[in-house]
Amino acid sequence: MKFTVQKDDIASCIHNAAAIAERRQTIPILANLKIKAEAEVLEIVSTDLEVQLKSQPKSVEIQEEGEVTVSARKMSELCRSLKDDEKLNFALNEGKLHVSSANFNADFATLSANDFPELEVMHEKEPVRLDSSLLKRLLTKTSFSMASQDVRYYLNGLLLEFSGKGMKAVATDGHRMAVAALEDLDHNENEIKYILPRKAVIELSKILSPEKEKIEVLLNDSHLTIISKNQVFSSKLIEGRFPDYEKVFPTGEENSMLVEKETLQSALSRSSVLSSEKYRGVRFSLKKNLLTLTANNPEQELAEEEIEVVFSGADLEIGFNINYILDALNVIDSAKVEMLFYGEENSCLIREPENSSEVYVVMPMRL
Amino acid sequence: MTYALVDCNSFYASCERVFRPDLKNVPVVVLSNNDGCVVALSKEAKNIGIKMCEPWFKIKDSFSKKGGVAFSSNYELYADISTRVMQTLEGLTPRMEIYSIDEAFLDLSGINFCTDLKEFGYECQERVRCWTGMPVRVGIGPTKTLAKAASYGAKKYSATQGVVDLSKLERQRKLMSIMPVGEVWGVGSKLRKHLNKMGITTALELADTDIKLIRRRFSIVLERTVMELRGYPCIGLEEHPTTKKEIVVSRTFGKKVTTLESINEAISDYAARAAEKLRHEKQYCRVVSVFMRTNPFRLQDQQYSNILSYRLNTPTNDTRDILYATRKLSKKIYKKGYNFIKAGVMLSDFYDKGIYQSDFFIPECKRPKSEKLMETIDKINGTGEVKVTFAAQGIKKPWSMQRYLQSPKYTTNWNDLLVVR
Repeated sequence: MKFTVQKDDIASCIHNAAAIAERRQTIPILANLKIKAEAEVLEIVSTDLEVQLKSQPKSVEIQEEGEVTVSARKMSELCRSLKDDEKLNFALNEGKLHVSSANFNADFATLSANDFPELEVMHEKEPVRLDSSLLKRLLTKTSFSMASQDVRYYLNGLLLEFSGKGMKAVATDGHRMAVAALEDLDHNENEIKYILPRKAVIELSKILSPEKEKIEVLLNDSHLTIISKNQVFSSKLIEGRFPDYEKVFPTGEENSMLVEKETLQSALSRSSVLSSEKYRGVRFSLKKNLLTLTANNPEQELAEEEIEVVFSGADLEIGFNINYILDALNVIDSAKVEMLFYGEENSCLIREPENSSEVYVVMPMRL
Repeated sequence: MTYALVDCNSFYASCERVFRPDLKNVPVVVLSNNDGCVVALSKEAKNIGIKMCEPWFKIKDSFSKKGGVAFSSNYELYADISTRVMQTLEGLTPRMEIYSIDEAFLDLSGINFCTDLKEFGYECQERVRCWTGMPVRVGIGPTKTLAKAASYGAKKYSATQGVVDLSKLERQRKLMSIMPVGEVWGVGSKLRKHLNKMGITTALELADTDIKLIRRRFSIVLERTVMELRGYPCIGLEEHPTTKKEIVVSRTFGKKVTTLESINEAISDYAARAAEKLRHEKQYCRVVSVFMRTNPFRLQDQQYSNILSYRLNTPTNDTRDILYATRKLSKKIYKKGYNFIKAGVMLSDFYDKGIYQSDFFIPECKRPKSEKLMETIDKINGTGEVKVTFAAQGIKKPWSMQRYLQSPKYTTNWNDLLVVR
């Protein structure tokens, strides 16, 4: 195997692959990425047996076909420290991968590509076609609410729900929930639900292009595959039933509060300095057009801030985990934000004013 | 700043002597649970060659022959005497920190304007002796570490009559020059070995070491110690004890236990005690763990040990919730055919009262009247002997600790009240 490539063209493929390769691997070869040169195409593959990424760097000059695996971490670190416009030569020589540039030479240890396990995924159904930017937005708007290492394993992922021409993403850790929806896609499905694992969601939101580039989403009962211009991303799906998220939406008499997003964000950040490190609690006290935020900690320190808001409901006192509110505010684009309250014991809803396609529900915290 | 460290002399052994004046000048030792080994000894016992941690069965005969008296541990008595000592000390100073069962730091700021500090030390000694019957020594210094060093001096040199004042620099340096570095507060055996290798053998040598070198080679903790030895207070008084992060109740059984029923009983008993401690701390826990193990010293036995945890849906301090969790766990851990010797319960992930982050999918479980019930149980049991127990804790408790040599609970049980003629 022998090829030449510009560092710029291969670097992002190697970094993305390295993020997927296992860091604390049980099977040593899973810490490696596979490099395969065949015909005119160079392919870089990495997998942790749950998620897999195949990518094809552009403008590669292949002099000799072949394949090998090499440490993902070391390759990624090397790429990071090389100059952007550097031309790199790769050659497999007596079991070592020789990498050279103008003044640099290195020999990497390799493992045989024959032992590299790859996910073989078959899809029979028609793909869903949509813009990469739309899916990226859907994931960014919701993924922060996923659970992490919860015993309720189905919460350690993101629910993708297809119904009619629509697609919804839902994430919850039991304390807060994020829901974002897309409409008018060029497909028509009966209602189907899939749960994408946490790692796949995090990696996918990184590698999806923010441009209006068409991608194909293929699904079967156990796997999801996303095909874009020069990447194929596959992931196993979580088997299990996602809880009925519709039931999570609060009901009853609602009281709306309208506030400048940045004002609320900065006030919460200030309060968080003196909130308890363990509970991260903040108290919202609402009176007519006035919100008072209070936070205190076991050291008897106290922070209080008053904010002008638009609120005409009955007086209300309710506690929240500051981080849950801040996380939701961070993904809201509008200058103003609306919070809908349903009483002290019930969850509250956060959204852009009059926008129901992206909503956040946060459970209160008794303080 | 001026601090005093008041430290009880041979605390457990002295507690046993409070109601037994006949034991004055007699060697006294206190044994660990199940009368295993020596955990406390009087000066007289030390003088006849008894050492800490010595197994009781090895010295039993020779000790008795030499006129020594041994006691099984009587923690109820020790805790109560400790409370009496601390209450007495509270009357002597506006600010104090209870550092352990037998030690307290007193803030003496301002007291030096009214009285000589050494005199104050003797007054302290006398007051505690008169009010509680306990002998104490008093170490005085401008920092907590120097007060500790002074207390070391008071223990080591009988001419001090149990009071050392290190307010003056030359006295500090004089004592530190003859004090081994391993005796400095915060220097453990590992650290001592490191320091010795660097040629630092006395407290004074440590105090005079370049602070930058200490920071580079060790940690900020040792740097604080060095600054404190130089007389700059770095460690303040902690008047309010920090909240516990976990509670562990574990015991070695009086005899080996093989059946799940007995193990369950024992674990339930420890769980009930742990829950009581949790309520005393005014905390609620979310994680309950259970562990059990066989006796590693019985080489002929098959060995097994395991620990498992259970996460409760809602933070609780209700014994019933904790028993529910421990029962589930012990059933999972237990294996037939093993001789178990020790088991325990651990409570962790604590929450303050009233704080609760609700979850969409887990309904909050609140037991009606739970608080009142637990409060009542604690009140009834708090008067001395445990009177109200959960059925799961068992009645006969054949697995419970053996304490053949325990003294009466003079101060906490009406039946054990001393009768004077």
